[in-house]
Amino acid sequence: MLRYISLYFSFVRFSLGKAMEFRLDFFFRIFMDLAYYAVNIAFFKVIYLHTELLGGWSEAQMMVFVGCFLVVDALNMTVFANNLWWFPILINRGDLDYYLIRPVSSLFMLSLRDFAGNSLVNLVMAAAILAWAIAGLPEPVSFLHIVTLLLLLIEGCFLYYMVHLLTLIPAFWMQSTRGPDQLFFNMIQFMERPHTIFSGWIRKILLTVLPFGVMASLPAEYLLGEHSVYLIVHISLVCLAFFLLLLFFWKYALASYSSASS
Amino acid sequence: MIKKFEPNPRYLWSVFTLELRKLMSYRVDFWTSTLLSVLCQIVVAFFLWKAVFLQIQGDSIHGFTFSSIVLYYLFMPLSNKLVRGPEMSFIASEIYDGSLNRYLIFPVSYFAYKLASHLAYSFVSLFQALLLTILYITVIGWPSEVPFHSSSLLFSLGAVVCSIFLYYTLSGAIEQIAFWADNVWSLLVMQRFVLNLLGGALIPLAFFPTWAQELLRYTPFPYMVAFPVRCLMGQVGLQEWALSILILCLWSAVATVLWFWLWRKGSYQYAGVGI
Repeated sequence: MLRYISLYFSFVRFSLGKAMEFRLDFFFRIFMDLAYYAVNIAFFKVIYLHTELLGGWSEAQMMVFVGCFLVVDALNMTVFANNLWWFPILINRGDLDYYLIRPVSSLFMLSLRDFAGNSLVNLVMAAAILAWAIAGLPEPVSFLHIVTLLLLLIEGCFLYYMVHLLTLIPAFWMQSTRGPDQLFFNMIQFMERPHTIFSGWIRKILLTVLPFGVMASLPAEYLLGEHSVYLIVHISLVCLAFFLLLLFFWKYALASYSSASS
Repeated sequence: MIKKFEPNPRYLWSVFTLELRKLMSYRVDFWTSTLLSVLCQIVVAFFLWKAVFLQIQGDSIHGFTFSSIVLYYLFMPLSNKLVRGPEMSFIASEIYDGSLNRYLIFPVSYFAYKLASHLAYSFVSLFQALLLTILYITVIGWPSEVPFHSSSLLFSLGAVVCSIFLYYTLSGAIEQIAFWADNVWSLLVMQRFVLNLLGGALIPLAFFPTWAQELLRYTPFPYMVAFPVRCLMGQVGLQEWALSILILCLWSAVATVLWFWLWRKGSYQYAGVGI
Protein backbone atom coordinates (compact mmCIF):
# COMPACT_ATOMS: atom_id res chain seq x y z
CA MET A 1 0.00 0.00 0.00
CA LEU A 2 2.79 2.43 0.97
CA ARG A 3 4.55 1.62 -2.29
CA TYR A 4 1.41 2.61 -4.23
CA ILE A 5 1.04 5.87 -2.29
CA SER A 6 4.67 6.74 -2.90
CA LEU A 7 4.28 5.86 -6.59
CA TYR A 8 1.18 8.03 -6.85
CA PHE A 9 3.04 11.03 -5.42
CA SER A 10 5.72 10.48 -8.04
CA PHE A 11 3.00 10.55 -10.73
CA VAL A 12 1.67 13.83 -9.30
CA ARG A 13 5.15 15.42 -9.18
CA PHE A 14 5.95 14.38 -12.73
CA SER A 15 2.54 15.49 -14.08
CA LEU A 16 2.77 18.92 -12.45
CA GLY A 17 6.22 19.47 -13.94
CA LYS A 18 4.93 18.42 -17.37
CA ALA A 19 1.85 20.67 -17.12
CA MET A 20 3.97 23.73 -16.38
CA GLU A 21 5.89 23.22 -19.63
CA PHE A 22 2.74 24.20 -21.56
CA ARG A 23 1.79 27.27 -19.54
CA LEU A 24 -0.66 28.83 -21.99
CA ASP A 25 -2.55 25.55 -22.33
CA PHE A 26 -2.48 25.22 -18.54
CA PHE A 27 -4.32 28.55 -18.17
CA PHE A 28 -6.66 27.93 -21.13
CA ARG A 29 -7.85 24.77 -19.38
CA ILE A 30 -8.45 26.62 -16.12
CA PHE A 31 -10.60 29.17 -17.99
CA MET A 32 -12.43 26.38 -19.81
CA ASP A 33 -13.50 24.80 -16.52
CA LEU A 34 -14.42 28.19 -15.10
CA ALA A 35 -16.70 28.75 -18.11
CA TYR A 36 -18.30 25.36 -17.39
CA TYR A 37 -18.95 26.36 -13.76
CA ALA A 38 -20.34 29.77 -14.71
CA VAL A 39 -22.65 28.27 -17.35
CA ASN A 40 -24.09 25.71 -14.91
CA ILE A 41 -24.70 28.24 -12.15
CA ALA A 42 -26.26 30.70 -14.62
CA PHE A 43 -28.48 27.93 -16.04
CA PHE A 44 -30.15 27.24 -12.70
CA LYS A 45 -30.25 30.96 -11.78
CA VAL A 46 -32.29 31.62 -14.96
CA ILE A 47 -34.60 28.65 -14.28
CA TYR A 48 -35.29 29.96 -10.76
CA LEU A 49 -36.39 33.31 -12.19
CA HIS A 50 -39.55 31.44 -13.20
CA THR A 51 -40.14 28.96 -10.40
CA GLU A 52 -39.51 28.76 -6.67
CA LEU A 53 -39.03 25.00 -6.54
CA LEU A 54 -37.51 22.51 -8.96
CA GLY A 55 -37.92 18.83 -8.19
CA GLY A 56 -38.78 19.87 -4.62
CA TRP A 57 -35.57 21.88 -4.13
CA SER A 58 -35.31 25.63 -3.58
CA GLU A 59 -32.69 27.78 -5.33
CA ALA A 60 -30.33 27.64 -2.31
CA GLN A 61 -30.65 23.84 -2.21
CA MET A 62 -30.12 23.58 -5.97
CA MET A 63 -26.89 25.55 -5.66
CA VAL A 64 -25.66 22.87 -3.22
CA PHE A 65 -26.48 20.25 -5.84
CA VAL A 66 -24.62 22.31 -8.49
CA GLY A 67 -21.63 22.56 -6.11
CA CYS A 68 -21.76 18.78 -5.65
CA PHE A 69 -21.64 17.90 -9.33
CA LEU A 70 -18.96 20.51 -9.99
CA VAL A 71 -16.80 18.92 -7.28
CA VAL A 72 -17.37 15.43 -8.74
CA ASP A 73 -16.52 16.71 -12.21
CA ALA A 74 -13.40 18.62 -11.03
CA LEU A 75 -12.19 15.63 -9.01
CA ASN A 76 -12.61 13.38 -12.03
CA MET A 77 -10.87 15.89 -14.32
CA THR A 78 -7.97 16.12 -11.87
CA VAL A 79 -7.43 12.45 -11.13
CA PHE A 80 -8.86 10.27 -13.91
CA ALA A 81 -9.95 12.16 -17.06
CA ASN A 82 -6.56 12.51 -18.82
CA ASN A 83 -5.79 8.83 -18.24
CA LEU A 84 -9.10 7.64 -19.62
CA TRP A 85 -8.65 9.83 -22.69
CA TRP A 86 -5.50 7.85 -23.58
CA PHE A 87 -6.94 4.47 -22.62
CA PRO A 88 -8.46 3.32 -26.00
CA ILE A 89 -5.46 4.74 -27.88
CA LEU A 90 -3.04 2.65 -25.79
CA ILE A 91 -5.04 -0.50 -26.45
CA ASN A 92 -5.41 0.07 -30.21
CA ARG A 93 -1.72 0.87 -30.64
CA GLY A 94 -0.65 -2.10 -28.53
CA ASP A 95 1.07 0.24 -26.07
CA LEU A 96 -0.72 -1.46 -23.20
CA ASP A 97 2.17 -3.96 -23.16
CA TYR A 98 4.34 -1.42 -21.35
CA TYR A 99 1.81 -1.23 -18.53
CA LEU A 100 1.26 -4.95 -18.23
CA ILE A 101 4.91 -5.75 -17.66
CA ARG A 102 5.34 -3.26 -14.79
CA PRO A 103 5.44 -4.69 -11.24
CA VAL A 104 2.28 -2.79 -10.18
CA SER A 105 -1.40 -3.19 -10.89
CA SER A 106 -2.02 -2.30 -14.56
CA LEU A 107 -5.42 -0.79 -13.73
CA PHE A 108 -3.82 1.45 -11.07
CA MET A 109 -1.13 2.63 -13.46
CA LEU A 110 -3.49 3.20 -16.39
CA SER A 111 -6.06 5.08 -14.31
CA LEU A 112 -3.83 7.31 -12.19
CA ARG A 113 -0.61 7.90 -14.11
CA ASP A 114 -1.51 11.38 -15.37
CA PHE A 115 -2.56 13.95 -12.76
CA ALA A 116 -4.10 17.17 -14.20
CA GLY A 117 -2.47 20.04 -12.32
CA ASN A 118 -4.66 22.72 -13.92
CA SER A 119 -7.80 20.89 -12.80
CA LEU A 120 -6.47 20.93 -9.25
CA VAL A 121 -6.92 24.72 -9.36
CA ASN A 122 -10.48 24.15 -10.60
CA LEU A 123 -11.11 21.59 -7.88
CA VAL A 124 -10.33 24.28 -5.31
CA MET A 125 -12.77 26.61 -7.09
CA ALA A 126 -15.50 23.95 -7.28
CA ALA A 127 -15.03 23.26 -3.55
CA ALA A 128 -15.33 27.02 -2.91
CA ILE A 129 -18.62 27.07 -4.88
CA LEU A 130 -19.90 24.16 -2.78
CA ALA A 131 -18.85 25.92 0.45
CA TRP A 132 -20.56 29.13 -0.71
CA ALA A 133 -23.74 27.16 -1.54
CA ILE A 134 -23.75 25.38 1.85
CA ALA A 135 -23.24 28.72 3.62
CA GLY A 136 -26.30 30.03 1.75
CA LEU A 137 -28.62 27.35 3.18
CA PRO A 138 -31.18 28.70 5.66
CA GLU A 139 -30.40 25.94 8.20
CA PRO A 140 -26.85 25.46 9.55
CA VAL A 141 -25.12 22.21 8.57
CA SER A 142 -23.03 20.22 11.04
CA PHE A 143 -19.34 19.49 10.41
CA LEU A 144 -19.99 15.73 10.53
CA HIS A 145 -22.56 15.98 7.73
CA ILE A 146 -20.17 18.03 5.61
CA VAL A 147 -17.42 15.43 6.07
CA THR A 148 -19.90 12.66 5.16
CA LEU A 149 -20.95 14.64 2.08
CA LEU A 150 -17.32 14.95 0.95
CA LEU A 151 -16.80 11.19 1.36
CA LEU A 152 -19.97 10.53 -0.64
CA LEU A 153 -18.74 12.88 -3.38
CA ILE A 154 -15.44 10.96 -3.53
CA GLU A 155 -17.51 7.79 -3.96
CA GLY A 156 -19.53 9.62 -6.63
CA CYS A 157 -16.35 10.51 -8.50
CA PHE A 158 -15.10 6.94 -8.26
CA LEU A 159 -18.42 5.77 -9.68
CA TYR A 160 -18.11 8.33 -12.52
CA TYR A 161 -14.67 6.91 -13.34
CA MET A 162 -15.86 3.30 -13.21
CA VAL A 163 -18.87 3.89 -15.48
CA HIS A 164 -16.66 5.78 -17.94
CA LEU A 165 -14.02 3.04 -17.93
CA LEU A 166 -16.70 0.39 -18.51
CA THR A 167 -17.74 2.25 -21.67
CA LEU A 168 -14.11 2.25 -22.85
CA ILE A 169 -13.31 -1.42 -22.19
CA PRO A 170 -14.93 -2.47 -25.53
CA ALA A 171 -11.74 -0.97 -27.08
CA PHE A 172 -10.22 -4.44 -26.53
CA TRP A 173 -12.54 -5.82 -29.23
CA MET A 174 -13.52 -2.74 -31.28
CA GLN A 175 -11.38 -0.50 -33.47
CA SER A 176 -13.01 2.64 -32.09
CA THR A 177 -14.89 3.35 -28.85
CA ARG A 178 -16.24 6.65 -30.12
CA GLY A 179 -19.83 5.38 -29.97
CA PRO A 180 -19.86 4.20 -26.31
CA ASP A 181 -17.72 7.18 -25.29
CA GLN A 182 -20.18 9.60 -26.90
CA LEU A 183 -23.02 7.75 -25.22
CA PHE A 184 -21.31 8.30 -21.86
CA PHE A 185 -20.80 12.02 -22.44
CA ASN A 186 -24.38 12.43 -23.63
CA MET A 187 -25.59 10.67 -20.50
CA ILE A 188 -23.57 13.00 -18.28
CA GLN A 189 -26.48 15.42 -18.75
CA PHE A 190 -28.40 13.16 -16.35
CA MET A 191 -25.74 13.75 -13.67
CA GLU A 192 -26.02 17.52 -14.17
CA ARG A 193 -29.72 17.54 -13.25
CA PRO A 194 -31.17 16.57 -9.85
CA HIS A 195 -32.61 13.05 -9.73
CA THR A 196 -35.72 14.49 -8.05
CA ILE A 197 -37.01 15.85 -11.39
CA PHE A 198 -37.10 12.38 -12.93
CA SER A 199 -39.88 9.90 -12.24
CA GLY A 200 -40.96 6.33 -12.97
CA TRP A 201 -38.58 3.74 -14.41
CA ILE A 202 -36.13 6.37 -15.70
CA ARG A 203 -35.49 7.47 -12.12
CA LYS A 204 -35.03 3.86 -10.99
CA ILE A 205 -32.52 3.25 -13.80
CA LEU A 206 -30.62 6.45 -12.95
CA LEU A 207 -30.29 5.32 -9.34
CA THR A 208 -29.13 1.78 -10.12
CA VAL A 209 -27.94 0.37 -13.45
CA LEU A 210 -26.98 3.69 -15.07
CA PRO A 211 -26.09 5.46 -11.82
CA PHE A 212 -25.84 9.05 -13.07
CA GLY A 213 -28.29 10.11 -10.36
CA VAL A 214 -26.09 8.52 -7.70
CA MET A 215 -22.88 10.43 -8.47
CA ALA A 216 -23.82 13.91 -7.21
CA SER A 217 -27.56 14.10 -6.72
CA LEU A 218 -27.86 11.49 -3.94
CA PRO A 219 -24.97 13.00 -1.92
CA ALA A 220 -26.74 16.39 -2.24
CA GLU A 221 -29.99 14.79 -1.09
CA TYR A 222 -28.15 13.37 1.91
CA LEU A 223 -27.09 16.86 2.99
CA LEU A 224 -30.36 18.59 2.13
CA GLY A 225 -32.70 15.93 3.48
CA GLU A 226 -32.84 13.88 6.66
CA HIS A 227 -29.17 12.78 6.48
CA SER A 228 -30.47 9.29 5.86
CA VAL A 229 -28.12 6.34 6.46
CA TYR A 230 -30.09 4.53 3.77
CA LEU A 231 -28.63 6.94 1.17
CA ILE A 232 -25.07 6.23 2.37
CA VAL A 233 -25.71 2.49 2.08
CA HIS A 234 -27.33 2.93 -1.36
CA ILE A 235 -24.40 4.95 -2.77
CA SER A 236 -21.84 2.54 -1.28
CA LEU A 237 -23.63 -0.55 -2.59
CA VAL A 238 -23.87 0.86 -6.11
CA CYS A 239 -20.14 1.72 -5.95
CA LEU A 240 -19.27 -1.76 -4.74
CA ALA A 241 -21.39 -3.40 -7.45
CA PHE A 242 -19.70 -1.33 -10.17
CA PHE A 243 -16.25 -2.01 -8.70
CA LEU A 244 -16.83 -5.77 -8.87
CA LEU A 245 -18.27 -5.43 -12.36
CA LEU A 246 -15.24 -3.42 -13.46
CA LEU A 247 -12.78 -5.96 -12.02
CA PHE A 248 -14.62 -8.79 -13.76
CA PHE A 249 -14.67 -7.05 -17.14
CA TRP A 250 -11.06 -5.88 -16.77
CA LYS A 251 -9.83 -9.44 -16.22
CA TYR A 252 -12.01 -10.73 -19.05
CA ALA A 253 -10.76 -7.98 -21.39
CA LEU A 254 -7.10 -8.54 -20.52
CA ALA A 255 -7.52 -12.22 -21.37
CA SER A 256 -8.62 -11.13 -24.88
CA TYR A 257 -5.77 -8.67 -25.35
CA SER A 258 -3.36 -9.73 -28.07
CA SER A 259 -0.90 -6.85 -27.99
CA ALA A 260 -0.22 -4.72 -31.09
CA SER A 261 -2.57 -6.73 -33.29
CA SER A 262 -5.48 -6.02 -30.89
CA MET B 1 3.23 29.55 -50.27
CA ILE B 2 -0.23 30.24 -48.79
CA LYS B 3 -2.96 30.53 -51.42
CA LYS B 4 -5.53 33.31 -51.53
CA PHE B 5 -9.27 32.60 -51.46
CA GLU B 6 -10.09 31.51 -55.04
CA PRO B 7 -13.39 29.66 -55.03
CA ASN B 8 -13.22 27.28 -57.98
CA PRO B 9 -16.64 25.53 -58.05
CA ARG B 10 -15.28 22.36 -59.67
CA TYR B 11 -12.64 21.76 -56.98
CA LEU B 12 -15.01 22.73 -54.20
CA TRP B 13 -17.57 20.24 -55.51
CA SER B 14 -14.87 17.54 -55.43
CA VAL B 15 -14.03 18.37 -51.81
CA PHE B 16 -17.74 18.39 -50.91
CA THR B 17 -18.40 14.95 -52.46
CA LEU B 18 -15.18 13.52 -51.03
CA GLU B 19 -16.25 14.61 -47.55
CA LEU B 20 -19.72 13.14 -48.09
CA ARG B 21 -18.19 9.78 -49.02
CA LYS B 22 -16.00 9.90 -45.91
CA LEU B 23 -19.01 10.59 -43.71
CA MET B 24 -20.99 7.81 -45.31
CA SER B 25 -18.21 5.30 -44.64
CA TYR B 26 -18.81 5.75 -40.87
CA ARG B 27 -22.61 5.64 -41.08
CA VAL B 28 -23.25 3.82 -37.80
CA ASP B 29 -21.07 6.26 -35.86
CA PHE B 30 -22.69 9.24 -37.51
CA TRP B 31 -26.26 8.10 -36.93
CA THR B 32 -25.80 6.82 -33.40
CA SER B 33 -24.06 10.00 -32.26
CA THR B 34 -26.95 12.14 -33.58
CA LEU B 35 -29.69 9.87 -32.27
CA LEU B 36 -28.15 9.51 -28.82
CA SER B 37 -27.46 13.21 -28.47
CA VAL B 38 -31.05 14.12 -29.49
CA LEU B 39 -32.56 11.40 -27.31
CA CYS B 40 -30.62 12.30 -24.15
CA GLN B 41 -31.26 16.02 -24.60
CA ILE B 42 -34.98 15.58 -25.18
CA VAL B 43 -35.45 13.20 -22.22
CA VAL B 44 -33.60 15.54 -19.83
CA ALA B 45 -35.51 18.58 -21.17
CA PHE B 46 -38.83 16.72 -20.91
CA PHE B 47 -38.37 15.98 -17.19
CA LEU B 48 -36.78 19.33 -16.35
CA TRP B 49 -39.55 21.40 -17.92
CA LYS B 50 -42.23 19.05 -16.61
CA ALA B 51 -40.93 19.87 -13.12
CA VAL B 52 -40.97 23.62 -13.93
CA PHE B 53 -44.48 23.55 -15.44
CA LEU B 54 -45.77 21.66 -12.38
CA GLN B 55 -44.82 24.67 -10.26
CA ILE B 56 -46.22 27.54 -12.31
CA GLN B 57 -49.72 28.93 -12.56
CA GLY B 58 -50.98 28.74 -16.16
CA ASP B 59 -50.11 26.83 -19.29
CA SER B 60 -47.25 28.84 -20.71
CA ILE B 61 -44.08 30.73 -19.81
CA HIS B 62 -42.95 33.49 -22.14
CA GLY B 63 -45.04 32.05 -24.96
CA PHE B 64 -43.78 28.49 -24.52
CA THR B 65 -46.23 25.73 -23.62
CA PHE B 66 -44.87 22.41 -22.37
CA SER B 67 -45.22 20.74 -25.80
CA SER B 68 -43.68 23.67 -27.64
CA ILE B 69 -40.67 23.71 -25.32
CA VAL B 70 -40.13 19.97 -25.89
CA LEU B 71 -40.24 20.67 -29.64
CA TYR B 72 -37.65 23.44 -29.09
CA TYR B 73 -35.31 20.90 -27.47
CA LEU B 74 -35.82 18.52 -30.41
CA PHE B 75 -34.84 21.20 -32.93
CA MET B 76 -31.97 22.57 -30.84
CA PRO B 77 -29.47 19.66 -31.13
CA LEU B 78 -30.46 19.12 -34.77
CA SER B 79 -29.88 22.78 -35.60
CA ASN B 80 -26.61 22.75 -33.64
CA LYS B 81 -25.37 19.81 -35.67
CA LEU B 82 -26.34 21.57 -38.88
CA VAL B 83 -24.64 24.84 -37.96
CA ARG B 84 -21.58 23.49 -36.19
CA GLY B 85 -20.83 20.75 -38.70
CA PRO B 86 -17.94 18.65 -37.42
CA GLU B 87 -17.66 21.05 -34.39
CA MET B 88 -14.15 22.01 -35.42
CA SER B 89 -12.26 22.14 -38.70
CA PHE B 90 -9.13 20.49 -37.22
CA ILE B 91 -7.16 23.58 -38.22
CA ALA B 92 -5.53 23.66 -34.77
CA SER B 93 -4.38 20.03 -34.88
CA GLU B 94 -3.11 20.42 -38.46
CA ILE B 95 -1.05 23.43 -37.42
CA TYR B 96 0.18 21.56 -34.34
CA ASP B 97 1.36 18.40 -36.11
CA GLY B 98 2.44 20.08 -39.35
CA SER B 99 -0.11 18.29 -41.54
CA LEU B 100 -1.27 21.70 -42.77
CA ASN B 101 1.55 21.35 -45.32
CA ARG B 102 -0.41 19.03 -47.60
CA TYR B 103 -3.18 21.62 -48.11
CA LEU B 104 -0.66 24.11 -49.41
CA ILE B 105 -0.17 22.11 -52.60
CA PHE B 106 -3.92 21.61 -53.20
CA PRO B 107 -5.36 23.62 -56.11
CA VAL B 108 -7.88 25.26 -53.78
CA SER B 109 -7.47 27.67 -50.87
CA TYR B 110 -7.47 26.31 -47.33
CA PHE B 111 -10.44 28.51 -46.36
CA ALA B 112 -12.54 27.18 -49.24
CA TYR B 113 -11.44 23.56 -48.70
CA LYS B 114 -12.48 23.58 -45.05
CA LEU B 115 -15.70 25.43 -45.82
CA ALA B 116 -16.65 22.79 -48.41
CA SER B 117 -15.93 20.03 -45.85
CA HIS B 118 -18.06 21.84 -43.29
CA LEU B 119 -20.93 22.19 -45.78
CA ALA B 120 -20.81 18.47 -46.58
CA TYR B 121 -21.25 17.66 -42.90
CA SER B 122 -24.10 20.17 -42.64
CA PHE B 123 -25.76 18.67 -45.72
CA VAL B 124 -25.87 15.21 -44.15
CA SER B 125 -27.08 16.75 -40.87
CA LEU B 126 -29.91 18.47 -42.77
CA PHE B 127 -31.01 15.09 -44.08
CA GLN B 128 -30.90 13.65 -40.54
CA ALA B 129 -32.82 16.63 -39.15
CA LEU B 130 -35.57 16.16 -41.73
CA LEU B 131 -35.92 12.44 -41.00
CA LEU B 132 -35.97 12.88 -37.21
CA THR B 133 -38.48 15.74 -37.43
CA ILE B 134 -40.79 13.64 -39.60
CA LEU B 135 -40.43 10.75 -37.14
CA TYR B 136 -41.23 13.05 -34.19
CA ILE B 137 -44.28 14.56 -35.91
CA THR B 138 -45.56 11.09 -36.85
CA VAL B 139 -45.17 9.68 -33.32
CA ILE B 140 -45.81 12.70 -31.05
CA GLY B 141 -47.42 15.22 -33.42
CA TRP B 142 -46.83 18.91 -34.09
CA PRO B 143 -48.13 21.07 -31.19
CA SER B 144 -51.26 22.95 -32.30
CA GLU B 145 -50.09 26.15 -30.57
CA VAL B 146 -46.91 26.33 -32.69
CA PRO B 147 -47.74 28.02 -36.01
CA PHE B 148 -46.17 26.47 -39.08
CA HIS B 149 -46.04 28.33 -42.39
CA SER B 150 -43.91 27.77 -45.45
CA SER B 151 -42.37 31.19 -44.71
CA SER B 152 -41.10 29.79 -41.36
CA LEU B 153 -39.23 27.08 -43.24
CA LEU B 154 -37.74 29.59 -45.69
CA PHE B 155 -36.73 31.99 -42.89
CA SER B 156 -35.13 29.10 -41.03
CA LEU B 157 -33.19 27.85 -44.06
CA GLY B 158 -31.87 31.36 -44.74
CA ALA B 159 -30.88 31.69 -41.08
CA VAL B 160 -29.10 28.31 -41.12
CA VAL B 161 -27.02 29.19 -44.19
CA CYS B 162 -25.85 32.49 -42.65
CA SER B 163 -25.28 30.85 -39.22
CA ILE B 164 -23.10 28.12 -40.76
CA PHE B 165 -20.84 30.74 -42.32
CA LEU B 166 -20.60 32.77 -39.09
CA TYR B 167 -19.84 29.67 -37.00
CA TYR B 168 -17.27 28.43 -39.49
CA THR B 169 -15.36 31.73 -39.65
CA LEU B 170 -15.52 32.44 -35.92
CA SER B 171 -14.45 28.99 -34.72
CA GLY B 172 -11.82 28.85 -37.49
CA ALA B 173 -10.39 32.14 -36.23
CA ILE B 174 -10.20 30.73 -32.69
CA GLU B 175 -8.51 27.56 -33.99
CA GLN B 176 -5.82 29.64 -35.66
CA ILE B 177 -4.56 30.74 -32.25
CA ALA B 178 -2.75 27.38 -32.57
CA PHE B 179 -0.17 29.24 -34.71
CA TRP B 180 1.04 30.79 -31.44
CA ALA B 181 -0.18 28.41 -28.69
CA ASP B 182 0.51 24.68 -28.29
CA ASN B 183 -2.97 23.43 -27.69
CA VAL B 184 -6.23 25.32 -28.15
CA TRP B 185 -8.92 22.66 -27.91
CA SER B 186 -9.83 24.04 -24.48
CA LEU B 187 -10.70 27.38 -26.14
CA LEU B 188 -13.08 25.58 -28.50
CA VAL B 189 -14.72 23.74 -25.61
CA MET B 190 -15.08 27.08 -23.81
CA GLN B 191 -16.66 28.55 -26.94
CA ARG B 192 -19.16 25.68 -26.95
CA PHE B 193 -20.11 26.25 -23.29
CA VAL B 194 -20.62 29.97 -23.88
CA LEU B 195 -22.59 29.37 -27.09
CA ASN B 196 -24.84 26.85 -25.38
CA LEU B 197 -25.83 29.28 -22.65
CA LEU B 198 -25.79 32.64 -24.42
CA GLY B 199 -27.05 31.23 -27.71
CA GLY B 200 -30.15 29.68 -26.16
CA ALA B 201 -29.32 25.97 -26.44
CA LEU B 202 -29.62 25.30 -22.71
CA ILE B 203 -32.61 27.60 -22.08
CA PRO B 204 -34.64 29.63 -24.60
CA LEU B 205 -33.43 33.23 -24.49
CA ALA B 206 -36.99 34.42 -23.75
CA PHE B 207 -36.44 33.12 -20.20
CA PHE B 208 -33.48 35.45 -19.64
CA PRO B 209 -33.97 38.83 -17.93
CA THR B 210 -34.98 41.57 -20.39
CA TRP B 211 -31.68 43.46 -20.03
CA ALA B 212 -29.75 40.28 -20.93
CA GLN B 213 -31.95 39.64 -23.97
CA GLU B 214 -31.41 43.21 -25.19
CA LEU B 215 -27.66 42.88 -24.74
CA LEU B 216 -27.46 39.47 -26.45
CA ARG B 217 -29.31 40.78 -29.54
CA TYR B 218 -26.13 42.56 -30.61
CA THR B 219 -23.77 39.66 -29.97
CA PRO B 220 -23.20 36.79 -32.45
CA PHE B 221 -24.28 34.06 -30.00
CA PRO B 222 -28.09 33.85 -30.49
CA TYR B 223 -27.69 33.90 -34.29
CA MET B 224 -25.54 30.77 -34.29
CA VAL B 225 -27.86 28.77 -32.03
CA ALA B 226 -31.45 29.79 -31.29
CA PHE B 227 -32.23 31.99 -34.30
CA PRO B 228 -32.81 29.20 -36.89
CA VAL B 229 -34.98 27.26 -34.38
CA ARG B 230 -37.04 30.35 -33.48
CA CYS B 231 -37.61 30.97 -37.20
CA LEU B 232 -38.82 27.40 -37.72
CA MET B 233 -41.19 27.67 -34.76
CA GLY B 234 -42.77 30.80 -36.23
CA GLN B 235 -41.48 33.13 -33.51
CA VAL B 236 -39.74 35.53 -35.91
CA GLY B 237 -41.57 38.05 -38.11
CA LEU B 238 -40.22 39.43 -41.39
CA GLN B 239 -38.89 42.66 -39.85
CA GLU B 240 -37.06 40.88 -37.02
CA TRP B 241 -35.72 38.30 -39.47
CA ALA B 242 -34.32 40.96 -41.81
CA LEU B 243 -32.68 42.84 -38.93
CA SER B 244 -31.23 39.61 -37.49
CA ILE B 245 -29.82 38.59 -40.88
CA LEU B 246 -28.21 42.02 -41.15
CA ILE B 247 -26.56 41.61 -37.73
CA LEU B 248 -25.52 38.06 -38.70
CA CYS B 249 -23.92 39.33 -41.92
CA LEU B 250 -22.08 42.08 -40.06
CA TRP B 251 -20.65 39.58 -37.55
CA SER B 252 -19.76 37.22 -40.42
CA ALA B 253 -17.85 40.04 -42.12
CA VAL B 254 -15.96 40.78 -38.89
CA ALA B 255 -15.19 37.08 -38.36
CA THR B 256 -14.04 36.63 -41.99
CA VAL B 257 -11.69 39.61 -41.77
CA LEU B 258 -10.35 38.19 -38.49
CA TRP B 259 -9.93 34.72 -40.07
CA PHE B 260 -7.82 36.05 -42.95
CA TRP B 261 -5.86 38.45 -40.74
CA LEU B 262 -4.90 35.62 -38.37
CA TRP B 263 -4.09 33.38 -41.34
CA ARG B 264 -1.73 35.99 -42.80
CA LYS B 265 -0.04 36.66 -39.47
CA GLY B 266 0.01 32.98 -38.51
CA SER B 267 1.54 31.82 -41.79
CA TYR B 268 4.69 33.79 -40.93
CA GLN B 269 4.87 31.84 -37.67
CA TYR B 270 4.22 28.45 -39.23
CA ALA B 271 7.35 26.31 -39.54
CA GLY B 272 5.67 23.39 -41.30
CA VAL B 273 7.34 20.76 -39.15
CA GLY B 274 4.84 20.41 -36.34
CA ILE B 275 5.45 21.42 -32.75
